[in-house]
Parts: sequence; structure tokens; C-alpha cells
Amino acid sequence: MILTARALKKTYGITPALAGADFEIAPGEVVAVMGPSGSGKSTLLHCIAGIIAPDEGTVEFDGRDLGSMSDVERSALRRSEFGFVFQFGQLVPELSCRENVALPLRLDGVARRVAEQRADALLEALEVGGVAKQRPGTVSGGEGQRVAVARALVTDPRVLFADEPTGALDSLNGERVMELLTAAARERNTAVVLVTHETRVAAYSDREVIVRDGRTRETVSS
Amino acid sequence: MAIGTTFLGLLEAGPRHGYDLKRAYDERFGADRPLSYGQVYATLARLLKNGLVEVDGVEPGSGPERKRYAITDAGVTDVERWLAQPEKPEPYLQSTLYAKVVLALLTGRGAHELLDAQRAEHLRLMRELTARRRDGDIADVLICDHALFHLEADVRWLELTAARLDELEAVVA
Amino acid sequence: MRELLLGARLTLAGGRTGIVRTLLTALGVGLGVAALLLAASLPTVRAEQEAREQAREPVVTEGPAGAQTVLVGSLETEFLGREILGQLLQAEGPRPPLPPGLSRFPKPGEVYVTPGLAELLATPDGRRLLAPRLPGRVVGEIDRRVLVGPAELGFYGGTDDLELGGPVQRAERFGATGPRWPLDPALVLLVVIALVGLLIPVAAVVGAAVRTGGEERDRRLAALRLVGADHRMTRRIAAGEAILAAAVGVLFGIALFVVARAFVSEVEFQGLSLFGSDVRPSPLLGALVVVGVPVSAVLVSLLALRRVVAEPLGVVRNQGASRPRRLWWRLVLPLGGLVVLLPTTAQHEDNVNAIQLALGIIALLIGVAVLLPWLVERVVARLGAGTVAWQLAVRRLQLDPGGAARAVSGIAVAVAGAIALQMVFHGAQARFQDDTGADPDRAQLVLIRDAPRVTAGDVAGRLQRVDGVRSVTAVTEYDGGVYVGACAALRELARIGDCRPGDAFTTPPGGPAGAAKARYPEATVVGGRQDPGGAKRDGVFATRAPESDPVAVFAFVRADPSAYDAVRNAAAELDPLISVNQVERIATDAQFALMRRALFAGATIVMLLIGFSLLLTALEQLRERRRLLAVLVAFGTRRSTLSWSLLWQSAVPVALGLLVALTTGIGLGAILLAVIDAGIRVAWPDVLAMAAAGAVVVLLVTAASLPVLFRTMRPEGLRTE
Repeated sequence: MILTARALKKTYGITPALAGADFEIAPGEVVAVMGPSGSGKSTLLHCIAGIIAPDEGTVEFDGRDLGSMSDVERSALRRSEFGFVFQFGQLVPELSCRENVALPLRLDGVARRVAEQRADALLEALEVGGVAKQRPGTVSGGEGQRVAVARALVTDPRVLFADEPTGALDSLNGERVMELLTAAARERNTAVVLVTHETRVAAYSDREVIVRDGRTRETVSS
Repeated sequence: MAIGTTFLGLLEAGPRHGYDLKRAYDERFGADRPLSYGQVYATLARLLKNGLVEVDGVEPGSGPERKRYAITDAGVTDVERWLAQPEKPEPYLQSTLYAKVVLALLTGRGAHELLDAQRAEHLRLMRELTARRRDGDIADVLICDHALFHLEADVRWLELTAARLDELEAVVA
Repeated sequence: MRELLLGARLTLAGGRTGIVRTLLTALGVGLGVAALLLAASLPTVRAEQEAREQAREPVVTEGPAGAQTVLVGSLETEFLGREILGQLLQAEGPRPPLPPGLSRFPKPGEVYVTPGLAELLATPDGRRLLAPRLPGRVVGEIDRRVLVGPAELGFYGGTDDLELGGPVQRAERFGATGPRWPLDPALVLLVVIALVGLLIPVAAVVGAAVRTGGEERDRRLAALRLVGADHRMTRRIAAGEAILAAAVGVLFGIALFVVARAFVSEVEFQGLSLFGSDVRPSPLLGALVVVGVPVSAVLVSLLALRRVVAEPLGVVRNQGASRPRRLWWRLVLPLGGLVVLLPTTAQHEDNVNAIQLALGIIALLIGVAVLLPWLVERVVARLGAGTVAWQLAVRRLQLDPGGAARAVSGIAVAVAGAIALQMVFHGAQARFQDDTGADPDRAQLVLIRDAPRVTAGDVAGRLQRVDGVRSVTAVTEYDGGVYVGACAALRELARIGDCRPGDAFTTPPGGPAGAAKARYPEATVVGGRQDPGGAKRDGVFATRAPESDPVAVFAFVRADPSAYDAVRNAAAELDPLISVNQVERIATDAQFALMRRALFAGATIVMLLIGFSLLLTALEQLRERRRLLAVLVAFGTRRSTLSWSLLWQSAVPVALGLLVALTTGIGLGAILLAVIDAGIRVAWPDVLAMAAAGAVVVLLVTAASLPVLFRTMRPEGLRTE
């Protein structure tokens, strides 16, 4: 297992978002996290990705306890080992698509030229090489999400966190994004945590975890 | 019925042998279940009897595989009617599953588990279809998509039913 | 009308964010309105203060003593760097006029003090070092209502040993009428420049506030188009929104003004204090502010919509990105300003039309604000990508150079105005400051008493006993220019070598003191010399007194600064009307000094105001970008990267703004110096200090918005709205 979470609890104000959730994922595995809205899917993702600290429970990545890391260390971890794709509004509107994709590398200190070359290669692989110079505001939703996927994968992360990556797309574009995302992830042996409420999207996973009322349960597939 | 009309459609392009028909059918529509020769010739015999096809010519030799079939005017009309007629929306699994859920509730067995198991089974199939879709050509994609959409609709129904189990229990019990 | 109301309603119906945005806008507008109302009160303040100042002025009479006359001895002293005015009063008859603020005429030995002075006297230092100087014991306070400002220091002292002459005059009543001496035309120019230079940035602040939340507004308008509003309707709806925010802002501003007014009496800044009750906007100007601000708000927001076409499916920046800003019309204002200003440099300053001058300055300064977006756009477009923080900042600026420019235009205009003012003040200084020729090394204090009642010997003897006094040289002046004192004292007045008691010296014959010189034929002719106070004496310098009455006694004191108060007290003990002045190389005109302090006060307020406005803009922007920031943090962006990006994002336009401000400010300053016919000189340290002040404001604003940035960066922002 590359990422393991045990007995996570998290409360916002008086609203419990997680009430004892477990999660684990192996390298290269694609796991769908499903559940009704408000069930705590996104909170689970934020906790296991080290974006927020759970009130209780542990998260281990590659044998390292996220809870004992400083904010700076967790940020560095997210920068280099994790990738993120969200539903919308994740691309920096003023940067070109190429610059957006190169951003995580540059944050990690890679020279601009090198970073942008890698960005171009990845955009090409995700079939959006043509929009490299455009700003996110001028590309279609499907292209934008592919750019976001490219950005999430540009650092060759160990785990890719995708929170409703197709939520704002029609099914054709959604399918294409999912195909490219899972294909690129498999190619790199990147584990994918896929939060979605769409079964069709979940079907791209190897396994699914259902979150209900802040608890996880694994469905046994026969 | 559906196989027959499909044959008629294939024949509309030009006369074919039974063997040709089976191959064309399997290639385009039969990815799941290839037709048996028995099915093919039984269907052709029925179409012949109904006057929808006629024997266009017989190759030297003997046996049904030597016969070439052509579509009749009545057959063309039949295809036209079939294409124009929307399919009756089928209830698929709901009736069976509904019965199962109700029975589970009545007998005090876990309806949630039943639904979850069904859901997992659906998802397993969807994964398979998704995988096949990924490796296949456009025809596979369209066929798999159709299946996937239906399965997805079932899953939605399963999810909604799961969310409304309490309500249902109150009515049933 | 319906659309206006709808616009207003939409603003409020926008839920929490809508209300927050309206409040931010209103706060910015309110700050501007409060500042404008304050400025609109200046005429009233000045009129009221002048009226009270005149009301207590003694009306001097040349006539004989009578039942209703009073002798008034005016004196002035200094304590802890603050000026204290005093009047000694001596009734000459049974019904002396009562000075304003007193309930009864002070008996000899009784002193009435202002509340400010009473407070000062109550401090340990005041008790020890100031109280001995008062000509008697304090029996009451002067009514605050007659004071110019609440913190004013002064006293009335009753006495019975005044004699007419010198600082003592006979008055028949209090309360002068008629005009006071008018302001120097150059001072009038300074006032005009100062007001314009300070008020335009305020206008810029209001303008920026009205544009707060533009992106959100555009999206809302697009939604309205979708449900069937046409262009004209959306425009009216936008106007409605602006009116509401501006109206709330005006109310805010009035409330802020009222609150500030209540506190104004408590505040003392650079020796200036004001009565809250004086701070009343003049009706015309006040009405102009209250009506003008909402109207301009609407105009500004309509102007802002010019480039934006709200289409049903989103907002189209009309030719925004594709068509670069044009230069020519942006040059019209500054060039027009120059055209208006340049002729004035050729005129004599008395003839310069203040309105023409003000218009020119306004055009030039607004020109800065207009030119800035063009410049920012051009420069930013050429900037390359450096570090990530720099890249984020530059790209952001490239996407919306206008917004960035607008945000800093206020500060650019303020700095340009301040630089011009600073230059004018510097240039004008020569006129309002005299090089006294004084030499603070030879003496630190100069004592003078016209129509003396004490002898030079008494003064010298008394002061020599004061701790910390190193030497005292005292001279008596007799009618016609005869100065009598010890040899050492005379040497301070003329170039005297050998000197023995009984000797007499004279400056070369002739001149106004010719008659006196003729009476001392045996006197040695010597050269004149500036005394330590800077005065050059012409006349006879003798060691023996003539047979006439002295006209003045003066003394030069060398003492430690810590002994100054003791010297003043000792002098006051001898005669309260001895004036004690500190020797300064440069004496500054009082009105000029007052104005400079007022300007600093005004500039401080404006800078604070602009800082607030920038902060509001920055916070608003962070609010709009909350989600994006959360995403950036999610994938591991360092806080420092985002902080730097925020800094660059304001630093680049600010640097450009300051550049324009420097150019315009120096240019404007040069023109204005030419107007008052002063030599053109750039005081670089001051100019740079002004620019630095602008930069510091920006740094502070960035620093102040960092906590909000960090709060915004929390992952809660990821939650879908």
C-alpha cells in the first residue's frame, strides 16, 4: 500500500464530515470513492492528500505519517508526490495552459525551459498540444480538464487525487478525460483516488470505496 | 424477431449467403453472443415462410449453405416499419429487484446488502465493459456505451432505492 | 427606474458575498466622502477660528487713560517647543473692558489660564519649569469657547505695574473688526495646490471603491441578459447597484465624519488643534459632496461598463484584450494641463488666476491617473517570466492591466501632488524663511525688553546666577542709536579691539544714527558686526550711559539647552514682558510654517486613506480568487510564493505609478516654482522620501493583506459553492 488512512474523524463546526473512515490504495491502483453528496467524500480526499489535518486518525504515505509532518513538509509532499485534478476553477486564469502545466515543476525548482518542455510533451499526450499557448479562459471545458490532468501528472506523482474530474463535462468529454487520465496514470504506475458520484466514471476504477455518513465501506465485488 | 429484422437490413444492401449473413451479424452486433448456425437457418426459414425473403439463386452442390437469399418488397417494408417504430422501454431488472427488496424487507433480511451486492455486480460488469470499450473500435464503443448507460440507470435506481429504504419499509411492514 | 431599483435589490439579494461587496465599496466611498467633507469644512474652520482670534484682539487707542481703558502687555513664551501667548492686564479705571473668556477682570497677581495650559501646569515638569514664569497665581480658567483650538496655550494675568510703551499698549475694548492681513499670494497658490493635490487622490479612492467587485457584477449582468434584459436595461441595473453602494457609502462617510468630528477636539497634530464644532462643511461644498459622489459613482460604473458587454452567455471584454489602449486621448488631459499652466509662469504671481492654476493642476494630476493604465499595459506586456511568483504576478497584470493601474492611480496622483508641493514649499521657503544671520554658537538665547523697567546690569546679574548659564552679555540701547554695556558686551555688536571702561566707539559717521555719533566726537571708528541674534547695529557703542532714558535692554545668553526654561523663568521674574527668543539661523514665517504643518496633516490623512483603499481592493481580489488560491495550495504552492506574487503584483504597478508620479510631480513642481518666480531646484532627498512613502504604503498594505491571504489559502476554499 502506498497510502493508508485509519479511523479518520473530522468535524466542521458541529457537522461531522468524517466519522471513522478507512482508506488504502496500492501503487498503480485506481480507487473510486463514491457516495451521496455531503457524505464526506471530498473531506476524505482532503485528509488523505494532506490538505487538511483530520481531528483523529492517521494517514501514512509510503510509511511516513502525515500527521507528524509540518505544513511545509506536507506542502512539499503534495508538490512532488501528489497530483490534483478538481471539478473546475483550478487553472490559473492568467497563465497560459503550458505555464499552468509547468507550474508544479517550477514550484519544485525546475528551470522554466525544462518545465515547459515537459508540459508540452504531456499536453501532446493528452491530445491538447494545440492549446498550449492559450489561456484557460479560451479553451473548452474538456480541453481545460485535460490541461488540468496534464498539470496533475507533470511531476510524475505517486498518487493522483481527482475530485469529480468530469463533473462539469458532458459524457463524451468526460469519457475522454477519464480514458486519458487512467491511461496516463497506468503508464506511470500512479495510483488514482477518484472521487465521483457518477457510476460510469467509477467504472474506470479497479475498486470502489463507498462513503456514507462519514464512514467508509468497501463493496465486495464478486 | 430482432435477429430476423437485422438480417433483412443486411440483405437490403444485396443478396447474401446464409454464412455471409451470420458473419456480418456477428461482426457488427454479435460481439456478446455469436449466432449458432441453427439460429441463422431457423430465422431464414421463418423469413422465407413469411415472404420477407426469397431464394435468389442456388450454387451447384447441395445443402442450405448453397442458397443465396434476397429481400422481398414486403421485407423492405418490414425493415422500414421496424426502424420507424420506437422500442418499447423495457423494465429491465426493476421488477425482479423490486420483488427481491420487498421480500428482503418482509422477511427481515438486509435489503441494503442486497442492493450493495447488486450494485457491486453492476459495477463489475461496467468495469468489464469500460475495459472492452477502451481496447475496442468505434463499434465496440457504441455498443458498450449503450450497455453502460443502461447499467448506470440501474445503479442509479439502486442508489435511490437504498436511500429510500426506510420509506419503503414503513409502507411494506 | 424599475431597473435602478432592481439593480439595488440585486446588490442586496446577492447573499452574503453581495452584501460584503457592497459594504467594501461603501466603506471605500465612505472614507472618501469623510475626507471630502473634512476638506469642505476648511473654510468654516478658518472663518470661525479667525473670528475668535479677532474677538480677543485688544483695540488699541492712542487716547488718554480713562474709566474704560486697560493696559495690555502682550508676551510670548515657549515651553517644550510649544508656544504660549500671554496678556498682562491692568485696569486704568473702574470699568475696564473684559477680554472674552473671562468672567471677571483679574486682580493684580491673579492669572487665568486656558484649559490646555492648566493641564500642562498640572504635570511635574509644568509645575517645576513653567509655573514660576506665570505672573501670579492661577485663579481660574479661560472659557474654552473663545480659544482658537482646544489645546491652545495662553493666559491672562492681572497686574498693577504696567507702563505704556514697548509691548504695553492701551486698549479701549477687545474685539477687532475689519480684515486681517491677507495671505501672501504665493501662500494662496500653495493652498490651491495642496487642496487639489490632496483631493484628487481622494477622488481616485472613491473611483476605485465604486469599481470593487467588477468581475462578479459582470457575471451577474450576464445572468440578467440570459433572462431577457437588454443592454440598456443592464446598464441601468448596474447604475442602480452603483447608486445603492454609493448612497450607503455617503451615509457611511457622514457617520465617519460625525465620529471623526467628535474626536477632533481630542487630537493634537503638530501643534494644531481643532474644535469639533468648527468642523462644519460649508453648505455648498457639503451638498456638492453628498450629491456629487453618488452621481460620479454612477458615471464611473457606466464608464467601466464601456469595455464590457454583458452577453447572455457570459461577459465579453469589448475589444479588451485585442485592442490595446490608445495613447492619444490619454495625453489630452496632461497636455491640456500644461497648456493651461504654462502661460501662468510668465505672469506676475499676483495676477495669476487661482482657478486657472487649479484647473491646470487638476488636469495634469488626473492625467497621471489616465495615463497610467496605458503605461502599465505597455510595460507589463513586455515583462518576461522569471520565478513562479513573478510569473504569476506578471501574467495577472497582463490579463488585467487596467485594474492594477486603477488600484495605484490614487497613490500615484498623491505622490505626484506631494512631490510638486514639496518642491514648491522648498522653493518658496527662501521667501518665507529669512536667513537671520544669527549665530547660535555665540549665544543661544536673546532677551529683549523694549521700554525697559529693568537695567542691563540687573538682567545680567540675575541671569548669571541661573544654573547652566555660561555667560551673559547685556546691553542697553538709548535713544538715537547709542548702545551701552561692558566691553565684552559691546564686542558682540561691533568690531571692537582694545576696550577699557570709559571708551566709546562708533560705526562710520552718518546714517540714521548720525546725530548720536556727532555727540561722541572722540569715539574710535570701528566696523559694524552682526550680533548673535543676527541684527547689525549702526550707532555709538559706549561703556558709559548718556543722560537719557533707555529704549531697550537686550542680553545675549550662552547656556545649556536644559537651562533655557530656567532662564525664561528668571527673566519673567524680573519682568514678565521680557521676551526670550532662541537664536535660530533661519526664521520661518508663521503662516508658512502653519501651512506646512497643515499640509503634513492632510498628506498623512490622504496616505492613510489611500492605504485603506488599496487594502480594500486587495482583500476584494483575494475574496474573488479564494478557490484558485485553495487549489494552488492543494498542489503544494508555498505560502512565500503566493506572498511574493502578491507583492510583485502590487509592486510593479506601484513602481510604474511612482515613476509617472516622479516625472509629473517634478514637472508640475518646476512649473509652479516658475509661477511664483522661485528658482527651480529639485530637492532629491525629499522627492525620494515622498516616493518612498508611497512605496511604504504599498508594502504595508501587502503586509496587512497577508493574514487574509493565509486564511484564504485554507482548503475550505476547495469546497464547491
